[in-house]
Amino acid sequence: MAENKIQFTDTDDLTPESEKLLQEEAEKAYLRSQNDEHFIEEISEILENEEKENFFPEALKTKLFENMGIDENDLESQQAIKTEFLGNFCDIIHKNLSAPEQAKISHLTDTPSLNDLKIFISNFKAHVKDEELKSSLNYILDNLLSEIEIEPDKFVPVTADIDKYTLLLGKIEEQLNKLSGHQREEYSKKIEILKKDFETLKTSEKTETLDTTSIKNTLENIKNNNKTYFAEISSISSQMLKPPVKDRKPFFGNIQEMKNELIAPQSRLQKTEEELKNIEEVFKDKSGALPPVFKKVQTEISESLQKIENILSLDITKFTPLDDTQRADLMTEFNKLFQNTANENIQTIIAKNTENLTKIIPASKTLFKSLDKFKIFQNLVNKTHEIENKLFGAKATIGDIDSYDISKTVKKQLNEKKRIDQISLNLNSQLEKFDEESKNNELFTDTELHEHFYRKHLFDKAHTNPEFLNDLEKAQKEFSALADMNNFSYDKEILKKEASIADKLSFFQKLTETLGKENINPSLINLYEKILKSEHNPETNLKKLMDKVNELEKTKKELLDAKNTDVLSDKIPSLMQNLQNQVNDLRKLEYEVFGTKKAVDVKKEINRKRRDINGQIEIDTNGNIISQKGKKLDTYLENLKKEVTKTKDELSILKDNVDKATDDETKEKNQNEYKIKYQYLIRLEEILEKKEADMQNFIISGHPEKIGFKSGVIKESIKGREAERFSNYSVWDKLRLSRLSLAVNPKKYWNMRFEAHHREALSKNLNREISEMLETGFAPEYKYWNEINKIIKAPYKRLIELYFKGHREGALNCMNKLEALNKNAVEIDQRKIEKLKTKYPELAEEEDIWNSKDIRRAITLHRRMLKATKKGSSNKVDQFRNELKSLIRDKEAANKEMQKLISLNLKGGSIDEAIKNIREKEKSTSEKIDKRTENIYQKFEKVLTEIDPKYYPNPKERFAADKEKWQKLSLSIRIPEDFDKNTIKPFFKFLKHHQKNSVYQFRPEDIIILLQMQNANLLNNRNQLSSALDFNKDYLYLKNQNKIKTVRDYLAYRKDPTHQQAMKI
Amino acid sequence: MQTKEDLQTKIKKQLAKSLKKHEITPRDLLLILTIFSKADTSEELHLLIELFKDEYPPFLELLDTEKYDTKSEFEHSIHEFISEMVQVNPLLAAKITHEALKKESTLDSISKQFPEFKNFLQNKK
Repeated sequence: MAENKIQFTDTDDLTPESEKLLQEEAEKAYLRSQNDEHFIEEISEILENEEKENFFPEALKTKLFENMGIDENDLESQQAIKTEFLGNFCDIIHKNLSAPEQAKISHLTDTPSLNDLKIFISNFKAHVKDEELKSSLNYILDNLLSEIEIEPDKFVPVTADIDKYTLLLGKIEEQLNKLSGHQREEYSKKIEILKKDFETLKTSEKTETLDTTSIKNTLENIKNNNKTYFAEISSISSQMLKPPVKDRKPFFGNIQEMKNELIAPQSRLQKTEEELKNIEEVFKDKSGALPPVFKKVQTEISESLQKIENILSLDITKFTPLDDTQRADLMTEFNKLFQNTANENIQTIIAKNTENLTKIIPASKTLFKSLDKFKIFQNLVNKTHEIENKLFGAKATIGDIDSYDISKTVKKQLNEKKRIDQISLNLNSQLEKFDEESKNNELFTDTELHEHFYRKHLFDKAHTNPEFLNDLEKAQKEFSALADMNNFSYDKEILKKEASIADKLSFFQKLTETLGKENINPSLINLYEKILKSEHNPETNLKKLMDKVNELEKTKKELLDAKNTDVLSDKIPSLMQNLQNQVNDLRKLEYEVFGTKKAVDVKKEINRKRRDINGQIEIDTNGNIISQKGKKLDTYLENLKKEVTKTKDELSILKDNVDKATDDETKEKNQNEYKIKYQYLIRLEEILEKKEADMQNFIISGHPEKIGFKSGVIKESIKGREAERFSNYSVWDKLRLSRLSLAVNPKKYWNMRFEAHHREALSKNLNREISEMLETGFAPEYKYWNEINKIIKAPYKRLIELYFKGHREGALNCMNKLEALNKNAVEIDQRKIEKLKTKYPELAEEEDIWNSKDIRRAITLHRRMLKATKKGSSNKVDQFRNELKSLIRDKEAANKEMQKLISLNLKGGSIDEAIKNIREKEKSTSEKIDKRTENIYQKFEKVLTEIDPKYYPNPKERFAADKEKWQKLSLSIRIPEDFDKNTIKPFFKFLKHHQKNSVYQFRPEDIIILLQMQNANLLNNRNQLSSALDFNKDYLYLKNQNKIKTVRDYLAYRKDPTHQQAMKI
Repeated sequence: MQTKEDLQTKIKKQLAKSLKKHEITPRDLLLILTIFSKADTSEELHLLIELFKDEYPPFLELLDTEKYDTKSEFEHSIHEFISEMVQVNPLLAAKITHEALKKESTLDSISKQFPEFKNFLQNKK
């Protein structure tokens, strides 16, 4: 389109020639555009009107080429254009599609697909004459194929056969380059032969055509002949080319990487070994011998590395995955290597040989450097692990690595466990002590005593702080060696464990100052400084702690003394306060020293132990405490009570003494004694009261498990809010509850219990309620009343099963009670009915139909109706009224006389007769029903209106309004008494089925007719029934035709002989 | 699924339209027809349309039209079926309506789920 555009400029600038030229160009452009329009019209027409099947008609092709200035006979130019198009198309494909998608439509691009390439390779192989080369080629070419398959994005369009060969050769060479060692040399020779062969092929290709069939056959033969070899090659090539584990990097990369990884540390090891040799002299004894342990470690390291090297022999041509034994060996060597590099002996040797350090400080630097080398070894171990990981695949080695790490973790955990066990042991002994001590120390609460031992424990713990002690001991060793080496005079006792930490530290400081920091190993200095600055340095804090504890002990002693000497001493309250303050201070201090976490942990541990002890407190079935702890408290209370009695006795004696005193002095003395004793009594009574309250609190204290019964049962039974309620009950209620719950069915019982009752009711008169529940099995206010009702209706056995599984006595009680209740209820009802009958003699008349149950029901309905009226719920009123009416109707329908009447009339002979009878009797029956129903309803109306005249202001009017409906209802299905249910059953089934599927829907009266016919033995089999159904159809048909309106009309219509013929149709 | 021939006709009509609107040149037309004539199946044609849609506007328009037609056909069929079914089996009608309102629903998916609908479509043909 670009050639049609004309560049317009300002016309004033145009010369006449230019203007002329412009004019000509404009005309040409106009003509061209006219031609274009014409051409487009033409082309569009062909496109729109050409036949469906011909997508690209020749005529169109020719026209389009012509439009481009290419003659229809100029095939070469046409091909060139096509090739260009295909090139464009290839670009589009490459830009938009993935390689597999490209391959799918490669046939559209006229370029060879993967399949083409495969065929080509097969052809090529067939052309190779040399047998040996054939085998080799199989290997190379199969690799090539598998590579193409693995990396399908290498799809390259090839346009000519010759290019295919070149490409193939390129591929082969590329593949060969990937190989290494002797393989490559071997195949390089072969590729030379192949190239020659290829050259021959190229020249011969011009004259010969490849015979695909023969090539295929030859290839098959080769394959068959070399099956074994082929399999081997395939297996090797698949190992080499396909990653055995997902996400594995290409194999070659791995091997190379692994090799590098192994070579690098190996050389490092050699260097380290050299360095170690250089300083061996340093390590030699005074006798000049190298410490054997050092030598041993050194040798072991070298051996381990050598073994690892051997196991991981890196000849890739012979590479096979390691078997289990090799892998186990490898792991052993890795472990050895690791252990040796972390060998403490090395450290010991260094420590032992530090005597020469002052002489060879520069050498020691090298020593420490070489120590760093050991760290490198450790890294090497890690590295080799990584390599091993790559080698075996992540899956295979995860376990190994885990076990490797686990051994360390397990050791750590074991140590930790030992430590915890030790703490636990200490705690136990302390708690035992506590128990012993608390026996003799009644005036102290258990909490105070616990606090005391808790402090003690913490203090002990600070002394055994492993972190701190480790550092300290390490530093101690180093400095001791350093001091020895420098003939530094010091009191060796100072370094003994018994020496105070401060002494030890001051010694180290002195030593450092004397020797000078520069002459001491910097790490040692660091350690020393670390200890000095350490947060764990508990010297000061421990002292503070100890002081506090001593202070506490002191106060405690004072308090005890005060109590022993004068129980009424004024000092006691202030001493108690002091004690409390000191305990608080101590707690603060502990938190500072040990940190919150540790203190809390220990506290938790102690609390747990305490709980264990408390858990042992058991309460017998009478609610008496029978455990040690409980007994102790009980004894204490008993003693107090005895003391009170004793003091009271003493007081009475003293009072007598006062009275008996003759002189003033004796009297005053006796009075004072009496006064003091009296105050003592008051004090004692106060204590007694307090301790009793304490004991109660201790037992309750919101933790049911402390009471000692099986807490699991209660926890399971009580959840959420119920648990909250439970905690509010008095302890005695809890006890009784739990005893009772355990005696019956705990889970069911508790669920029921808590759902059914208000907390207040429960706690107020629990015992009565529980007995009641045991006796009745349910409580009157039980909210699932309906469910209970259902159960009551079921046999008693079920009730027992549900609520008193396994508890025979309770079940029997329940059953007896229920029976008594029911009997009672019947009696009461009967009395009520009698009363009603006396009051309303009209009801008594209907006794044969209306039993007591029905009457009760009618009265209940009426009551409900009244209630609904009061509430103003008209729907409910209607509902209950209808129910009442339907009750009356049902009763009426059940009237035996009526049934007899109907059945008698149905037992007539022929259909006609039956129909006649029915019609006649129906009429009279209907009338009778109407009459009777009305009578009964009126009676009810009368009775009910009398009960509540407001509700029925005008009963007649109301009845008249409902009368029609009621009559209709009374006409609905009535199955006579003597109907055989067994014969009716299948009939009903059939009828139901038919009714469901039939386009005609039966109405109740239709079904009555059918039933009546069936009953009158008029329909003995299916055929007859189906005629009956036809009859129904016929009936509906006539009704739709407006020829009849009711069943009676129908019967009359069909009875008419003029219409009988039509029915048969 | 429409036949290859149907699709080819649609393509040709669309190309003619675009040619008239100067959206493509005769050279473009030659290229398109050369490549498209190599396709053996309607799937391949679809793939080519997808490939060419960014380079040549007619294909984009064609795809839009296709989408619109499919949607219209879907809605029409559902509408017809529901009108019939609602009298016979309102529950089924409701279920199918509910299903049809889902974005991902197609005639195929609904036919697979509801044999009644499948029968309806077959009878319609």
